[in-house]
Amino acid sequence: MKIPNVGVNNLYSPSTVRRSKGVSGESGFNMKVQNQSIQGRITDGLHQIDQSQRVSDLKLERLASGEDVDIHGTMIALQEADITLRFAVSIRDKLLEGYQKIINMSI
Amino acid sequence: MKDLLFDRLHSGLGSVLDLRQKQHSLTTSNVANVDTPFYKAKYIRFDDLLKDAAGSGDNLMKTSHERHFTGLNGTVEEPQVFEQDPAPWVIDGNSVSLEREMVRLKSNALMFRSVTKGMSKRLSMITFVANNGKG
Amino acid sequence: MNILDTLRISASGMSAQRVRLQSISSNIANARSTSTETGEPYRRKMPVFKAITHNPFGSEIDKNLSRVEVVDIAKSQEDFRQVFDPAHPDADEEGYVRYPNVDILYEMVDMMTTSRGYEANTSAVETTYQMANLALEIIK
Repeated sequence: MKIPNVGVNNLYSPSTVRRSKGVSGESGFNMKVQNQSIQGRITDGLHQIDQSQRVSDLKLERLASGEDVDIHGTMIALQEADITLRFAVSIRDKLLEGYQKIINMSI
Repeated sequence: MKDLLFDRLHSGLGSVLDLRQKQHSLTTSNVANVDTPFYKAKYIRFDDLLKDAAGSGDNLMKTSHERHFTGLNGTVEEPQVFEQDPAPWVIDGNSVSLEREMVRLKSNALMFRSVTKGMSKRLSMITFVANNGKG
Repeated sequence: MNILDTLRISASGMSAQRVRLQSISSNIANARSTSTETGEPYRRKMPVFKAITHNPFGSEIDKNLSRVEVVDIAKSQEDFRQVFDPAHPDADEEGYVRYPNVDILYEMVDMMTTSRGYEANTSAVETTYQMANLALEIIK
């Protein structure tokens, strides 16, 4: 019996998905830091949240319907979505804080 | 606004939980009737029904579609309950196999727990956002 | 291959072992039954196990995973034991009584392996269930 190479090639895991292009045209977190504006990175981040949410929804639906009962994969996808969301909100808060400080600087 | 926050997947998951609950009660009834003559073990056929609803999978089952379950997409109707025929060498016509029922109990409970976890995580994410990022 | 299939396969193992135990019980109980409804002595019952591919339409791994089913409870075609006892009601014209082709010692050993097999499958079910629950613990 030939056992295929069962690697972690889960199509739906957000961590393996190459996401939207930033301003520089590169993808995901593997972009060159100096080539991207803040806006590009924010947009990128939003896409990542969206993608991770979609993936986790899809996986959960497939789990619930019994079509693809991948318990650990689904749980991991859900947790990734959760963490991505919380991270993004945390970053938003930091950005806002920074913005507030700049605005409130007396000239 | 409730429609915006709680999508079809949310109600679909709720329907699946209902189904799992029904399966659980069928299983306990089967176990109670382990010695009843001519009692046939009853169960809900999840894989085929829900695969059909999801629109994928090879549906080899010959069943009437009048009471077709459309769980994750729309309204839920009563699921069709299947009966297990007894093995040829069984004398009293009872088709309840304790092993099968016990494992069905476990696997059903597992799926119930998985869907509950998934649903609660989704809700906790919405709650997090609703609280403007504060837990 | 999903975790539910794993559970079902173990369940099939447990069921098959129980059918085997029923056959063994029947054999032991009828070890000295010199007549049955068919007229001849009791023939040893042998459950026939068959490995059936659980999900032939699945992946490569799925095609190699089988559950077990009892396809038939066959009657052993071994010769009966002949014992000379003309006084016995079931003796034939020459005075020989045919006793069932059941060897009690063989049945006892069979029963031990059946019990171990049942235990092993139950263990597999428990382990599978625990693994799945561990996976669920990923969330909180």
